[in-house]
Amino acid sequence: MKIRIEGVSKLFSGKAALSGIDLEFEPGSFTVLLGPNGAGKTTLLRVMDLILRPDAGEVYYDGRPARALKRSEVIATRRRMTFVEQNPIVFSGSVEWNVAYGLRARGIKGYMERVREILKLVGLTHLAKTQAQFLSGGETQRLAIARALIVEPEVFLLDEPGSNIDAQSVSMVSSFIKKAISSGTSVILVTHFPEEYLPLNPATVAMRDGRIIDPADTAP
Amino acid sequence: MKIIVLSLWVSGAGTTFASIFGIALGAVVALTDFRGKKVVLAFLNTWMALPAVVIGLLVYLLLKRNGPMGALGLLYSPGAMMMAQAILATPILAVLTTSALQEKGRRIIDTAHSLGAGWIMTCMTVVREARFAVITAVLTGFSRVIGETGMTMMVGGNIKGLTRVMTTTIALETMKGNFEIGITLGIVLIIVALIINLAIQLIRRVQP
Repeated sequence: MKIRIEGVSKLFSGKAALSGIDLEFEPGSFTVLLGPNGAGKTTLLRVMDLILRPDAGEVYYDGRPARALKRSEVIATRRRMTFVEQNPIVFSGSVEWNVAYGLRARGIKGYMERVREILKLVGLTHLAKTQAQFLSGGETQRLAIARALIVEPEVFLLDEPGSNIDAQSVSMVSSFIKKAISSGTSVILVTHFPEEYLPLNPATVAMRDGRIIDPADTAP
Repeated sequence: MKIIVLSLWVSGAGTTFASIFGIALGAVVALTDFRGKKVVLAFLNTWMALPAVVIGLLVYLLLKRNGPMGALGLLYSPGAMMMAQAILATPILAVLTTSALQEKGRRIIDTAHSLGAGWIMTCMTVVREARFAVITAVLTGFSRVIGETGMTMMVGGNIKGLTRVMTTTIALETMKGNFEIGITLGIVLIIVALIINLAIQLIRRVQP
């Protein structure tokens, strides 16, 4: 899915979180979003995921403006993307129940085999029946990625997936991202550590104070 | 025995009506942004702090023969008691539901949406996630109304066999010097309160 952002602005309590953002993401592209805390990166991902509505400007999904989408089309568009938050929440229920959430939302039945496969992939097989709330930070992050990947999204939005987790989980998260990119999924990744992804030749977008800036200006 | 059953029936029905309005109101306040939200919250908190006898007085004025709802003929009936108890419990349920959903409710909705859930599945997810807090709110509302005396007497009239419930019986029999009945019903009320508290403790223990 091609996503085009035109002149998007978003205010929170009168303060601009995004100011006139213009960006374009081609299908299958990999983009790293850089910038200090408060730059507007998370807000941008939330606007792209149709969770937040911009105060000005427009986001186009395969050429269709978000504002023109009917309620059912908004849901259908969201189902083509998944968003993994920096501190994801899990629902009460077992790990496998959480992983299958997106499949149930799409009316997919007979998904247990897929759930088992993805749990094996993220190394959570032994915790399949565990209540998700009892997972550690790293395990929760892996669960969040598993439940996002299982629906095979066209666009994968990730907000600092490597923060607050152990080294083993960080490398696992990185390998999932690489796998998603290689399978043709568009990945838009917010990270403070872009070096790890340089071999994948990502496009780099830098932000500060809600604006797009030259990536060279983000260097310490 | 009839008094005990009537008490549980009136307070159960009153809490059920309060749950329908209170939980819906609490969810709307917690999960939506609208102008005047702080005013609504202040109103709910004030309503919750109102003495029960004031609610009894308002319901009495509404239901008395020449009052705005006098034609319904509800005064001194179990219906009037249910209505008063529902009005008493509604803000408790609304405020407790608001506080339960305010912190995580928006994030639950956003996560459900992000995972592709439609409107119905999102609502079901919110209810599922908040179920322990909502059940606790309902039990708290029930324990508040079943122990109410003055208001219940004002709108129910404490009519033997019709509107006489445990609390009003205890008050009446104590005034008459029949302490045995009062103590017996008092023990039943304590047992009801104990069961409710045990249920709340159990829910808190089950909730991860």
